[in-house]
Amino acid sequence: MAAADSCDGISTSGGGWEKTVTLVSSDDARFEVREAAASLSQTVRRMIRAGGDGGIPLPKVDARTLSTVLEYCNKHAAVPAPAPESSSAEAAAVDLEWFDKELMHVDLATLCSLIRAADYLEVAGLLDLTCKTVADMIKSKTAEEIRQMFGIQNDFTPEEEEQLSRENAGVFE
Amino acid sequence: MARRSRAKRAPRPGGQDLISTLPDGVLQHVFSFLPADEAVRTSVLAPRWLHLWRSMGRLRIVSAGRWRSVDDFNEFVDRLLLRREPNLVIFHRDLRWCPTFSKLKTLLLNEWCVAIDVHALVSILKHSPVLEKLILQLIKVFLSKMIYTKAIAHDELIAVNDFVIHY
Repeated sequence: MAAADSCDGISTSGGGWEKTVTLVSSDDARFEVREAAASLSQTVRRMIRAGGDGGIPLPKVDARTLSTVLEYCNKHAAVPAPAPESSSAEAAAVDLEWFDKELMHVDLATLCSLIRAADYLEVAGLLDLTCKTVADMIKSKTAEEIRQMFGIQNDFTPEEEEQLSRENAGVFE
Repeated sequence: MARRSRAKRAPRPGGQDLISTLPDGVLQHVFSFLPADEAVRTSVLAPRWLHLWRSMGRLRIVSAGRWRSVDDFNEFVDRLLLRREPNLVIFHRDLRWCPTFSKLKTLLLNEWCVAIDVHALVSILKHSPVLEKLILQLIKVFLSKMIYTKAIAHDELIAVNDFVIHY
């Protein structure tokens, strides 16, 4: 990519053939990462195309969150594309599924940071994964259980509550 | 690393409500992984959540095991579609006055929409100008009807990019 070559954040890796880019977190930590992995972020991909000096600044993502996002990108970008329905494709899919599941073993604050980062960086797969994790937490729970789990304050006024239950009569059990 | 330890998902003592501070679009993305009735149910959590589901781009309508009877389910679907566009009315299965689902991009449906004939489904398709993906989860008996509908959807109605039938 000619435009990418002009970007100072790009150098060649030890192998001498794979391009890397440098990403800079909000707290000034620098991450050198393969361009193929970084490009899973549409935001980063656009910034690579635009070129720039001294690495790509990501002022909305801290180092801890970015490190996890990049762990996801490295893993998912590394996957070769074997023939569909072959046994190696199946094994790779199982491995990725396991990896994703492990990655989601985080506390709620970390999960929210990952969601914000995936949204800002536009990493579609990670946004799906994190949002689905939240959906699975919500699934089959009562409103009160969901409020307790997330610390949501029920700040409806009594009038609003009454209107709500009137409107919802017949919709919910 | 924190993520290697088992999840502790209780809010921190005195902690803030982090989920509610996420952008609307993100919460709606979360809802898109929930069955439609559970997505609607989030509206009772707090005022912040009240109207979010109404402008969702993707609605996942499923019935399997969630309703006591077909009538209960049909009533829910009618009310659901009605509330997404509160100025417009759907009359039961007769969708000749079907509202326009101006924001609906992905629609997942199963048997109810073709149980009598394909009229309801065709009406929904006709009134969904930005629909990109239609997923029909059907038992085999409805397949012949669907081949007919697929032909209509492709040739005459709209450009649905992604038309999937599971059975």
